[in-house]
Amino acid sequence: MFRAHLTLAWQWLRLPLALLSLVGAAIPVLGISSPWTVSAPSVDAILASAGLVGLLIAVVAVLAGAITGDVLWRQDARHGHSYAMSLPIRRDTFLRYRAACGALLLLVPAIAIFLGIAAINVGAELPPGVRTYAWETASRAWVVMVMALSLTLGLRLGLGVRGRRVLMGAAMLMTVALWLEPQVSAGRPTVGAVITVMFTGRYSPFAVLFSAWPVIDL
Amino acid sequence: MSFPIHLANVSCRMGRDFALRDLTLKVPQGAIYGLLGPNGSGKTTTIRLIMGMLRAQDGTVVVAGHTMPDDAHLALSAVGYVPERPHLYAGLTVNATLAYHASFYATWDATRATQMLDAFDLRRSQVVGAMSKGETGKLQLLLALATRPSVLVLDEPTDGLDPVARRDVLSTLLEYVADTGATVLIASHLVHEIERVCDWVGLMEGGRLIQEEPLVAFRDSLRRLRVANAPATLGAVPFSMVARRTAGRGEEWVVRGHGADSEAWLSRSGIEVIEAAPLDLEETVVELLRATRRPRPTEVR
Repeated sequence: MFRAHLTLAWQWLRLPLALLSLVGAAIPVLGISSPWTVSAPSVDAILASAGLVGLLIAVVAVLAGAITGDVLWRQDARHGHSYAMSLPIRRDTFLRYRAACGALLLLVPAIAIFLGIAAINVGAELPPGVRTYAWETASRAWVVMVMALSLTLGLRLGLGVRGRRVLMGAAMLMTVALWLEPQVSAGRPTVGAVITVMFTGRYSPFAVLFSAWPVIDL
Repeated sequence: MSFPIHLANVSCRMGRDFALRDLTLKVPQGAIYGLLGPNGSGKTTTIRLIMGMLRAQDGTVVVAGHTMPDDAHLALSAVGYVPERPHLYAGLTVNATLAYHASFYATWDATRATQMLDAFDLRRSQVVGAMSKGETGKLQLLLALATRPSVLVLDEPTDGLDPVARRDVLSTLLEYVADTGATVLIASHLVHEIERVCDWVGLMEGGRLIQEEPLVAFRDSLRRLRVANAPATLGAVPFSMVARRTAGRGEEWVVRGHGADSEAWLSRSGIEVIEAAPLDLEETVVELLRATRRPRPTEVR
């Protein structure tokens, strides 16, 4: 049954995943190779462009996960989930299969990112002491993709109209609090600091996205 | 008698209004049960409850011995379903659709599926989204029957199909039932279609089941009487007056429970019966719906 789910997911996702894989592979190749093809760049210049590449890879990873989740959900949502609900399978199992298929297929763009970074070793001569982190960056991108996939499916599953309103209300409150806080905080922990810890703290699930991406480092 | 589909005192609310109110419906084993009713009467809601797609606020729904929707994954392995509107994945080919559907059923009959593909003139390479309404209807019936279900739930299975496709769908359904003795529930507003294939009939209106009987009893439950010399007020009568209206110089009555007692009473009352005729199924349905929508007639209108 899982194979049937996987085949189906591949049919729906092959085109967007192929495009994202191309982009994912191209970003490190174009972003890192160019600075020192003309003249030998400084290590600082390489690290600066690697920072931008890391950010772009993170964006591609989030997009890949979110698009995968959305496509997998939308195929059933189009008909009010009528077909899926008429099949003899527990609903949570069905959703787990869908999520697992998405996670598995997201290995395709993750591998493309790995190959793109690995290609830098072949196509460009790095200054001594500088190395690429292909495996680490690709694994990390895959974790981000799976996180975005889970979030998309979770939000689609768990949020009806009321849930979306609550979430939007919370986001608006947070925005207002961030705007007001310089005027009311006097040395106390600020909302901004709390949000920063929430998203980038060591134990935050979002830290993988917001902390530094060492595509290339010393 | 066992009932593979049994709804007991089911109420289901959609928003502020009740879509179903205290509905009890029993489909006997081996019956082809036609669920009739106008649009909006609650047929599709009833079917969605039976399929475990909705949860009733009150009452119980039992299908193939399993409580819905909690045990839907168990019950649905014995249920073939044809929805009111096509719900298959539009981008898939027929072949991919068959493969995906088959993976959920241990009882999938690939030979029957191939035979039905040929009989319905469907090609495996056709894309579902590009198929005509008739072809999609046939494919959905194929998917339902190739799982060899003991219970079939069909929601307006021939609605919008051309006469040839309709005939193909109904004859295939009847062949399957003759072979397997499956229990079938068909919701439809096409009375003639129900009359052709069903042996039990239930009539819904306003979220309630207003009558449920074997087809023959249902059809024979009402009589149309053309009478003359009837007084304006009848008083106590030994039958149930469903409709009473003027017709030419006399009156036309639609009554339930017409028999020897009522004939004797009519004779004693000096009312002349010009004609007493049975109604066909469509007339019976129309009269019952009219009677449900207005107060019971006591005087001539």
